[in-house]
Amino acid sequence: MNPLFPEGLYRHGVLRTTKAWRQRKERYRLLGTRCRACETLWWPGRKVCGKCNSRDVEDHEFSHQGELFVHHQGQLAWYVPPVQGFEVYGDTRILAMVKLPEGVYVGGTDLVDCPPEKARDGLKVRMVLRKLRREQNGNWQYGYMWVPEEPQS
Amino acid sequence: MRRVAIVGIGMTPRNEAYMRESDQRSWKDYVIEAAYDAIDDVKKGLAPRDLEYAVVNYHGEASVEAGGIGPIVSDILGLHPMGVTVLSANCVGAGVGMHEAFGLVASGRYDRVLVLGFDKRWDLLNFGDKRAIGGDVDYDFQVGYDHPTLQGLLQVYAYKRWGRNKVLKAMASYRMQAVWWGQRNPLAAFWDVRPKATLAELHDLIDRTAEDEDVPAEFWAKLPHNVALEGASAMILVPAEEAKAYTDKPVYVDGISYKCNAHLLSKQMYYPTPALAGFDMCDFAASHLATDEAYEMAEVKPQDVEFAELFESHITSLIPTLAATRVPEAERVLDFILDEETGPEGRLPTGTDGGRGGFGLTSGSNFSDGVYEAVLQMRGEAGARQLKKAGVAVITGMQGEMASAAVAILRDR
Repeated sequence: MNPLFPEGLYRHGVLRTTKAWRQRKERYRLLGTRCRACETLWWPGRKVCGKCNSRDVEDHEFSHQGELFVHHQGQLAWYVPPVQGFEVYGDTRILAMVKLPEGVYVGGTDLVDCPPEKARDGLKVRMVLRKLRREQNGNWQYGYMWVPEEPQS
Repeated sequence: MRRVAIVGIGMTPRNEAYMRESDQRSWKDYVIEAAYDAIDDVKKGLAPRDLEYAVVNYHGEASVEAGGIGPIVSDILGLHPMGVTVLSANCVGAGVGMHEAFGLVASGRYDRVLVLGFDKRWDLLNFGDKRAIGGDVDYDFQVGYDHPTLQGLLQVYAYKRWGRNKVLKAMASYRMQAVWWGQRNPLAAFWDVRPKATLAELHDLIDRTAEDEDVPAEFWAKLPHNVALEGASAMILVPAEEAKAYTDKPVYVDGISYKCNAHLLSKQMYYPTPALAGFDMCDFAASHLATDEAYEMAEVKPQDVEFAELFESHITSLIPTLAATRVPEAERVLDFILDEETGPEGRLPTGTDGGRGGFGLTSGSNFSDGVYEAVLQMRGEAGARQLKKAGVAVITGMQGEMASAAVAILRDR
């Protein structure tokens, strides 16, 4: 709970249930695309290859393991109120970008189940599915987050 | 293609006295004030109805104002049935607007075109939504990221690439320089700012901190912070061959370019296409590509450029946009800042109106704010902050999280 905004969930105009549903495979399984013509991998997935312009692309499920590339705890210079309505796991949100073995990067994303002092660039992590926020119809929206490959305590 | 010139500039102030009354003004008030200020600035006279077309950019409020605000702008300026192209591109929007208006004049389609950028922050949009639309909504905001948290990722990567303490010292140097410029600009947010520490004190705080220690809270508390504001600025473009009919001091737009890369930061780390090879999210590829193209168009080389109005409110945007000018060597940008080469006596005075953060970071008008200042400098009308040499300027704008860049090269003759 954000002490500055203890009241109920605030609804952002740019968040929509249909958008969340449409992107469920990306968020649940890290489904991107592979270009059949030039074999380039893309995350997030796309309909036209950004390298060769082929439209002959197929689904590609990316690794669920990676390593922490960069991270911070949201307080670089001054207090920034968190985006309201999103679940925060633990006392401190660890904001991150993760590098996958395929060479692509996923971020912004969250590192969870890790004490803040144990977060370090290069940490081996794996994907987990966690609650992100409630949708407008009351359902929970889920999405990828990352936990240390080896439990940190 | 015809050469293009700027013959009028307009502006709403961003100083504290003016901004204290921001609750009294809507985006329409800002648009009217900046547009008519530009019209009045045409020294030899221009009737409002002499304008043939307008390109207007916004960030924020107007996005929920009936979808398209062209007819509203045409109406409130009293210029019906003049056509108005409306576009939106976050902080670089006025640069995109200038790019489009340049084409309209250079092609011969119109002879007098108004370019205007504005931002109104909170009349309609809430704080959360405003913060969200600085990033990639699908894969950033949808998972709980917004503009400040994404900027945080950029900044920690900058620490990783160049060393945290050196980045912070360069940031302190540049912010204190912004205060120096801003205190000499009555229109700027920093006009009334009194720094809480000297540069030596800020540097000392960092020097006494190891790279892996927490940054002292005192450093953040005493560092002059960017001021995010609202308002508008405008310019009037005409064919260069007719410019002297409007003013004795036209400023010429000899190069202009606009380039895009990914809006999603993680894509900037991996985008395997040849034009973007060798760039990552700290390099801001679009600023390099656009600057190169604008230089080529203007037949300008780095050694010709005398000052710059960059998108330098964040250290993460100052470093790449400064590198893109090719005035400092790419790997010496931080030293260039620390050596005060961006200051009033330096090789490339930068952000001479207070810079985007010190003048007043105004998303929809950042680029036209920079053009306004460059035109003042080239006319010799910049008062206490007047540069000795102000003949060739580079103006650079940035969108969102390094998503796109507009660059203009201006000459005074």
